[in-house]
Amino acid sequence: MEYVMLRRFLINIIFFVCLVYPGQAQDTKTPHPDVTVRTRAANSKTRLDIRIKGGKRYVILAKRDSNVLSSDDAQRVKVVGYIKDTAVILQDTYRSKPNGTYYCQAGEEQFLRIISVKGARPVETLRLKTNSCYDSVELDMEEGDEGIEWIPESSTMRVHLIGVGVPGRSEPGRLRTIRIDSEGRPIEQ
Amino acid sequence: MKLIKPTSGQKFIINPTPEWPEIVFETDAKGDHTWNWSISWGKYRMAGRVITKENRWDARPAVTNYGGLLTVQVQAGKEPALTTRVKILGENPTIDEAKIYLALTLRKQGLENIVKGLDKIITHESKFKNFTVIKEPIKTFDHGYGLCQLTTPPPTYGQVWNWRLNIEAGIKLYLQKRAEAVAYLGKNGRAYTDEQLMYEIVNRYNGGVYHIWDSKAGKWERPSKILCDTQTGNIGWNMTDKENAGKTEAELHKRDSQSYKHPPGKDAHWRYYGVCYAEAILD
Repeated sequence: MEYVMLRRFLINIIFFVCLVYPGQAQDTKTPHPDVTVRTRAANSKTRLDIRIKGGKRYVILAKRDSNVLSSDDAQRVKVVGYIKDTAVILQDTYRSKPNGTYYCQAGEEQFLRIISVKGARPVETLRLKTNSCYDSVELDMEEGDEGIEWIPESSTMRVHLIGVGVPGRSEPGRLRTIRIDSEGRPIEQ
Repeated sequence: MKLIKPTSGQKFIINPTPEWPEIVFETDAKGDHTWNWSISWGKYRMAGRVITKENRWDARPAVTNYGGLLTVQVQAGKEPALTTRVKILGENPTIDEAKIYLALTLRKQGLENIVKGLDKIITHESKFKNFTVIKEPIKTFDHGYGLCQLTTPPPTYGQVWNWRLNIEAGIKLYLQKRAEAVAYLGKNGRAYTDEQLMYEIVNRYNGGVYHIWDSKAGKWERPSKILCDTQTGNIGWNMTDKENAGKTEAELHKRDSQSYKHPPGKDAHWRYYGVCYAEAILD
């Protein structure tokens, strides 16, 4: 009887701890006045828990790619922009998948995403690789805010990519200007 | 029908050249023979079928560039098929042989003044060894194969077992990293030296960038905030981290070196830096 009670007590403690500390969640690196994002790895994807000042909350499972270890959480997340009740634009960054050698051991894999929050459920409307040791993708960190300019007045971002790309896997870098429409969808300019 | 040779489980060795050995299969039967073969090693597999007029077949042309377990099933007339398995293993070239091949390949391709430092990268990665003591290709726990420790794009079967093909793929990878470095350093017509280019290339093999543009001085600079642990291949500290600031390399090494056997965790104050990798190789 005592054992059963002790077990139940321990289970309750674990449950409570999980509620308070959901996994190894990451907070946004760059504080945003209206948006906070926490992440954790979930079945080779990233669970993005997006909280908007005022109480709205959106949770979405975001895909990565094979250059990220399936169990790895994001090392950092940055909120690039927010269009009220329409879209959250964010970047999540991971270490490059380790392969037991020095190759890409210090590398990173990074995704720029538009999460539309217009509908009943959040939907990812853009996933763009913005840094990759394996795929030769990189941002021109001298432009904008670490490679991305966010222009809230026109709901537009300018993405300064300079990587050379890998044939068959990634494109050579170029300036991409992307406007986000009223449904939270990207429109390449 | 009986198989005269080889014996089941026999080992055949790829020499350091590398030349694939004769692997003769022979039966005591007469007439046409059909040889169904497959060779595999880990995730790699190749297979084929050869028909001979006689009772003898040399598998060498079929399996050149491949190694591992070779399975051959032979059929002759109405006799029941026989299956046998042999192993193909490899021997390392000497470091000098591999370096000479690298230099000759670069010269043949007109790249001797373009690909610089690759020999140092290979030395750092594998010490120019393609095979382990059990004569199978070096394979790290996930994806790194052979002398150049090729990972992405995934190397072919031949690039894993034939060290010359492995070096040729390593040159392509180097050129990819070089193109990245040139695009980065040459942005807006900025000037850079050959030495800066080499550091930038080698850095990118490990990840990240080596140089930061100093707009006031109008030149590329090494990031001053990184202090490398010179006893390691690519570990360093961000000296703007208040836990590191003001400390010496020796003090930081003493504090952190116990935790180097695993990747840095969230609370670690050290990390892997391409900058430190480049300096470990080139300085």
